[in-house]
Amino acid sequence: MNRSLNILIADPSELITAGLTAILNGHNLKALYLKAESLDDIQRLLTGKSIDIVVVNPSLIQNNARAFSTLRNLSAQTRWIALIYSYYEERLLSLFDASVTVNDPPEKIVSVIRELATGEEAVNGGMPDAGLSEREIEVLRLLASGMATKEIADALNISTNTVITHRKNISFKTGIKSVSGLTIYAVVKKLITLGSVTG
Amino acid sequence: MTLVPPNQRDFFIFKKRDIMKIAGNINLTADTRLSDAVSGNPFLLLLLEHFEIDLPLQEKTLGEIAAEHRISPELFMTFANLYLDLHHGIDPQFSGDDISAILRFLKNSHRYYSEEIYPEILSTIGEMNQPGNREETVMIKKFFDEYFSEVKVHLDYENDTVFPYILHLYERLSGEAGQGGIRNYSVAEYREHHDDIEEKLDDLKNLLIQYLPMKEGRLMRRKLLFSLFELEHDLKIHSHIEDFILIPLVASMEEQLNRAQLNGSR
Repeated sequence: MNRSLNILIADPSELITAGLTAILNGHNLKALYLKAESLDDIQRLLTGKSIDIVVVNPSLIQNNARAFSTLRNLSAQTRWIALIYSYYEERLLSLFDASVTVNDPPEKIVSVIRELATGEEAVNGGMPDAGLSEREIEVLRLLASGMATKEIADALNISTNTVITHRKNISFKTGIKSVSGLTIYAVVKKLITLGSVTG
Repeated sequence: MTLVPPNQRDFFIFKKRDIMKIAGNINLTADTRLSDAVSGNPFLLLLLEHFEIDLPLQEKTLGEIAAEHRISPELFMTFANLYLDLHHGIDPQFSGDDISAILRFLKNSHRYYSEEIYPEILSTIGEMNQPGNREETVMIKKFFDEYFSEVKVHLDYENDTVFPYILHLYERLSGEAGQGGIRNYSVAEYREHHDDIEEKLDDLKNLLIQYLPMKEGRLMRRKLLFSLFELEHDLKIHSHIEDFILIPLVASMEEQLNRAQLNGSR
């Protein structure tokens, strides 16, 4: 949600990695920026933690297409952007989720990254909204009373996937993610009584 | 109200701007006077403590202090830059020789969490427990107790399993330890551990800021929030260091050892 992004910039040139980091930072793209010089570096960093975006010089991939597809499988949620400053075959570029060229204005590079990073959420969420729907309140009540997702689904006669979606929306709207946090929220909003929690 | 003479006021403004510059966008170098950096950003005090560097700093530069404490200047600067700006880039080019400084830092951070900041937060919550706030305090206390015991499990796991493994790996590579002794463990097991910890902390902050009514205890709520922000800031840096510096470094040490073993068996 409002978690900050992890962006990896992979290029043999420090001028490029440092320059791009500074430009993106200056355009208010708040993220943790990591640098890598080789495919090996990228692989090591991907074992550490989920990386949202990798901006990579295609020459690092060019003769390592197989290693690249292994990497893509290793971290399915990572999006790959080719950073182009010389000619590459279309076939190579089609391995990436998007591409930018070194002549693109910073605004364009920033917007490509933003789009890739938030694409999924824009579909699910939209802007937080103060009020929960009646159905969401129902789900929240049962959740706060200690019921598991499956139990809530059975009680309300809906699928577990629907419960999970409600749960995501509740967290998005309230800003509270854990069940114990949501329980406090429910008490404060008088959706449940304290006795049923601490008793 | 005390009136500040104009010339002195200007001096004060000048000083403040100077400090802002340091806190905002200085690039630390080995020649930066460390006391200047700390004056501009008090969070650096925690960095010093985690590295076991005591005040006063005298006129020493960052490079001098790093050398005195057996920390490579690059490592020290990378960590310090994270304290100054969480979004500062990390260039994770470190070597096995940095392991002992990194582990020292992380272990001391753990001690700060479990022996200092968590107890401090617990006692602030205790002080919030006034007649008008009973119900709210009980809930917050329960939430925090649960959260703290989860954190403890995580810290113990790192102290007892992960760190000894890494140290042993380093000793194997540098020839200080013999064959064997490493249980079948890989750093790949040790991932995605902090997300929960940060999530609950975030929840607590949001509850206090957005939702929790309290009839009394404005001061305690503010103190609690300040402590939570202090903890959150340090925890974020802590997980950045583990995820983006320690784990990649250990992964490359594992590779190195595997290669050495492969060559040895040929």
